[in-house]
Amino acid sequence: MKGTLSRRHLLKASLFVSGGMLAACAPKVITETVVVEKEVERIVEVEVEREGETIVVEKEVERIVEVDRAAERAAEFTGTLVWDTFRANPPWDQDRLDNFKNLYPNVEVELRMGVADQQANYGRWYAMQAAGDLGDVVQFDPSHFHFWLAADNNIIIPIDDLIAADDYDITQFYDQFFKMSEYQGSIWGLPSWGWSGTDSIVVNELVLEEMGVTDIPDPQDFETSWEQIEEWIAKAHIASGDRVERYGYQFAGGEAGFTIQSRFFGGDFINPEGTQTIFQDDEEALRGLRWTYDKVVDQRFTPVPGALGEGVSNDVACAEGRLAMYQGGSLNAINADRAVQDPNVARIGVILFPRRPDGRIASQLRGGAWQVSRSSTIPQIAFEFIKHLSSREGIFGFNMYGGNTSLVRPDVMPLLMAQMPLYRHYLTNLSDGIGINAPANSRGREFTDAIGQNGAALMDAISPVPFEEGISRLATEVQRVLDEPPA
Amino acid sequence: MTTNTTHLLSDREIARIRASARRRRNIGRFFGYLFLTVFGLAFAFPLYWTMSSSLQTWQELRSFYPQLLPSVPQWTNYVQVFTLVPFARWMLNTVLIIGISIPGSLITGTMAAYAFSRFRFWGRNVWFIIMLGTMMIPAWVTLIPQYLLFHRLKLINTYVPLTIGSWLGGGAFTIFLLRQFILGIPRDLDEAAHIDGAGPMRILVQVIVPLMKPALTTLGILTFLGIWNDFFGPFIYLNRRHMFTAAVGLRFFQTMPMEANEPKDHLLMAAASITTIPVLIVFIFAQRYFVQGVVMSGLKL
Amino acid sequence: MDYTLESSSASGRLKRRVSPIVLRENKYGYLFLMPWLIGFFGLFLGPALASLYFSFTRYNVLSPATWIGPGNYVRMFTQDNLFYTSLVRTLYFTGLSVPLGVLGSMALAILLNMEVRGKVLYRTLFFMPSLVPLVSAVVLWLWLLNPDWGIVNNALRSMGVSPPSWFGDRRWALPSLAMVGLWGSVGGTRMIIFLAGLQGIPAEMYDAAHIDGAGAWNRIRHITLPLLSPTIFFNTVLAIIGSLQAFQGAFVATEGGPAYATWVFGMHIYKHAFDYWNMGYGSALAWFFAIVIIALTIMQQRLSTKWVYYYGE
Repeated sequence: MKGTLSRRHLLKASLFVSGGMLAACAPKVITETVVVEKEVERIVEVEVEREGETIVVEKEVERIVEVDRAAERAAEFTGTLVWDTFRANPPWDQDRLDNFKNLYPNVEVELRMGVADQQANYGRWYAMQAAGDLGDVVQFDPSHFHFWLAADNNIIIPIDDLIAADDYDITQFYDQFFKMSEYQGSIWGLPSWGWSGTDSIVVNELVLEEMGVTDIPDPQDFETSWEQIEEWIAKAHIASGDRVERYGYQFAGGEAGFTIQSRFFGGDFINPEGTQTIFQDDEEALRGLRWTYDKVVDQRFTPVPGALGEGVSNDVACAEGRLAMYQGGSLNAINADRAVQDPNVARIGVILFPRRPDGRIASQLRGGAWQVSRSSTIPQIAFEFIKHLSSREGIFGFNMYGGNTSLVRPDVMPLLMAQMPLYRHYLTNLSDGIGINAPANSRGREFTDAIGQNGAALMDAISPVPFEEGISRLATEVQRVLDEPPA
Repeated sequence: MTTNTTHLLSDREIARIRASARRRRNIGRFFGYLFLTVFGLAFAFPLYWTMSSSLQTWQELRSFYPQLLPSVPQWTNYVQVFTLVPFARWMLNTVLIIGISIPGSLITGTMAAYAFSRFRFWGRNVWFIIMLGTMMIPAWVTLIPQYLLFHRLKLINTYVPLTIGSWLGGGAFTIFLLRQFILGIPRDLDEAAHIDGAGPMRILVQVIVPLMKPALTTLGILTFLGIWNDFFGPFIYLNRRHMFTAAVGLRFFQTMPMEANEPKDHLLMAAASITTIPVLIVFIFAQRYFVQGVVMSGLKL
Repeated sequence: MDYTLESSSASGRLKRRVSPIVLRENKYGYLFLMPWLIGFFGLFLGPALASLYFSFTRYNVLSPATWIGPGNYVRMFTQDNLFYTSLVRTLYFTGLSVPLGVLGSMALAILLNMEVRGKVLYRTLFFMPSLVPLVSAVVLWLWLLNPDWGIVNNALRSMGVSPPSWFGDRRWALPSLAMVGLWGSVGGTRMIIFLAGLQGIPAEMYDAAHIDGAGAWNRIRHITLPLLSPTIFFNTVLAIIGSLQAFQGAFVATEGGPAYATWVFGMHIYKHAFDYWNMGYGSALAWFFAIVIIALTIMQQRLSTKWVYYYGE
């Protein structure tokens, strides 16, 4: 406690001292503005328009309209900002820092990073929070179920006021990704990474052609039927004895995968309030899970865990012609496409799930968010910084050279589609997808484990349990988590 | 007792017994060698595999049909390990931590072991049992309170939390091993020095420590290995990039989570090779003393 | 555990008037023990007592702990079905890896202790796996044990055996994990300690046995094993403590799965303390487990008097 206090005093003192230098800095700010323009022009952007099947590519140089206003405001910001993030995403993060420095020359940003394992980093951050040492900008991601916990425990602050004061345009994000940070009537962050989840079937189109399916369905039509998909899977699966030449299908496991399966035909996994499991009594949800169970346990079209090889994802297996189809999303399709080494072995395509009776498509959006910590003494600068991370340029770079997938802004999609045409299949799902139902008691981690482990028992092809038994165990164990007192 | 029986046997009988023993020994030895070689190769394989995959592309590495050899050695993987992140700096940091820790655990560990083995102070056995007991409490329990303690002392982001334990006894195993070793040193030596007017400190430094070289070498190696591969301590207590250690840096290259799109496994393997090789060299050169140290401590419970 | 202490009743002999010798022993004893004592009180006891306190609270690190009495301990036995699951898994894992690990290390040490050429080379080879970081080791084994095309399963198929799916199979996941652990530890420090024990056995004893016509097996059985028993005991105690607490392999390889198959007790503690942030419950689990380990160790110590033979005592 004392430590934080004295640090704050120090900070205030330094603010006071540097305040006197602001006037001297003003002319410099104007030259910085020029740099900003240069920075933006450096990226030669590519616009894509879709007219029927053709893609028109044209080059365009972006102009920033509000340069003058930003420069004026920038001079007002002074301080040291601490940015806590999972891992380095070089060179994206350094680029963001440099760029921010150009915009706000009087703000020092210190990047503190963890390493690879995201879940372990959350643990460290909670310890840092307990010790009063958390940075100003943090990332407790909704899809990892830490967001609600962070909000409940006063680690992060709502940013509604900052958004309102800034007149910040929230329609620049896909609504669903923005709303992912909505809780108790407030908004708590701006989107970082995001995709629409395992909301489609990634397919090796060469396998379909080999089976004589020549008119591969236009993915954007959602015209394929589940029966048709089943038939293709059965045909695509090739096995002799106990050795499988090519697996027909792989499902997506875990919390997100099972939730989406329960949504296949219109049901859901838990209620929107996050207090009850509903799939076990919902005919449509059971039908979706049963569909997967049939493929995995009864018909054994699916590799057992680890069978594809350590580190060999479904994406790579599909790219190598060992897996014909799998439940996967935009991220998977892109990764599979990148992994194709021999165009005679695989050509990656996408079959979107058939529309549900209610007209929607089964999905569960996945995403993260940048947030401002409650302990921050400079929330406004922190907000400026997360705006900077979630801007069009920030998100574009996050995808292109940050090693992440972030489809949270409609305005980056044309740019990304120019690089990866497969992204076009997911446009509808990004705007109309279904969000996350989070446990009301904020026990998302237990929730995730209970589904992952008991779900694996349900879908165990080696020592199978009857469908009804597996479902009832899954429901009991998940409900047990939902019934726990709030975290 | 048994040696007396030799007198009852003739020379010829002795020769016959020796020959049959030799024959048996030869057959045994053949299988011994076979076994040792098969096992040795099986055990050496990981290092080969690590190095081989450190020279592959990630596509090769993740391919369905694993490659024993890279099709084209990717030496740039190694360059990338050092250019993408300050890996050389991280290795130096590890070396610094080791440099601080080893003397600490050897000095304070010897002191504690000396106390346990040579002085009959009040409550000695109780302390000894408590010390062994500290090995049995899962470390996870004390982690958060320890973190908060170090934070209150403003020692987060310093190497103090990572090294202070070495300067405060160096852990139960260290003290136990050294105590066993000192128990094996005849007390007569102490007493002779004592009669010559040497105090306990001088006896320790001039009589005991010179005889402890093998044990101290052993512990030096064990401490080295422990710190070199320790991930969790540095991970928890350090969050400035320039202060990371090699083991933490290794995790940096570990499989990216679901939402990332470019695997770095090949770089992980290159980094793993870079970090394993120094340890291997240390082991090869020090192993003679290592074994000797353990032999002479005569580990008993 | 303290049988080699020369006197177990030093305090009993304290006379009412403290003699200068006793004073001196206490003065220097505590003086030399001081660094460890400071560490014990400062770094260990405080945090350990704090966690003991937490074990009687509901505590998520972020809000102040609230006292709930023995609730966590009650919950453990009555409401947490994973508590028993993980205990059983841990005992199974220990039952597999300790006997095999101790016997394996001993066998390797006995082989190396023969007059073999290239001893240094073999010793280095055997030691290598314990130098490899756990993450790389696990990745390697997942690859070797791949159900479809792994080297191991290919070999088994060619012998006409229908191979298991190892880590992918609920029944085999834990044995697979034990196997990886054995590979990493059997030639490590434990084997070195066995080597040391073997080298402490006087060579004359073997010579005599040769002349008596004892075969290799009899020599091992009647000379090596009894004389090595203190080392076996030492290694067994350490191996049991280690394997009861082991969970990093499960964490890296299978994350406790599939379907809780590798959800060992260490994993259960870690999950509650550092993933679910039930620090109070996690502390209670850890303290329960500490007591189990201590009790087991004391039990082994009692049993050891029946089979451990101290040469020259």
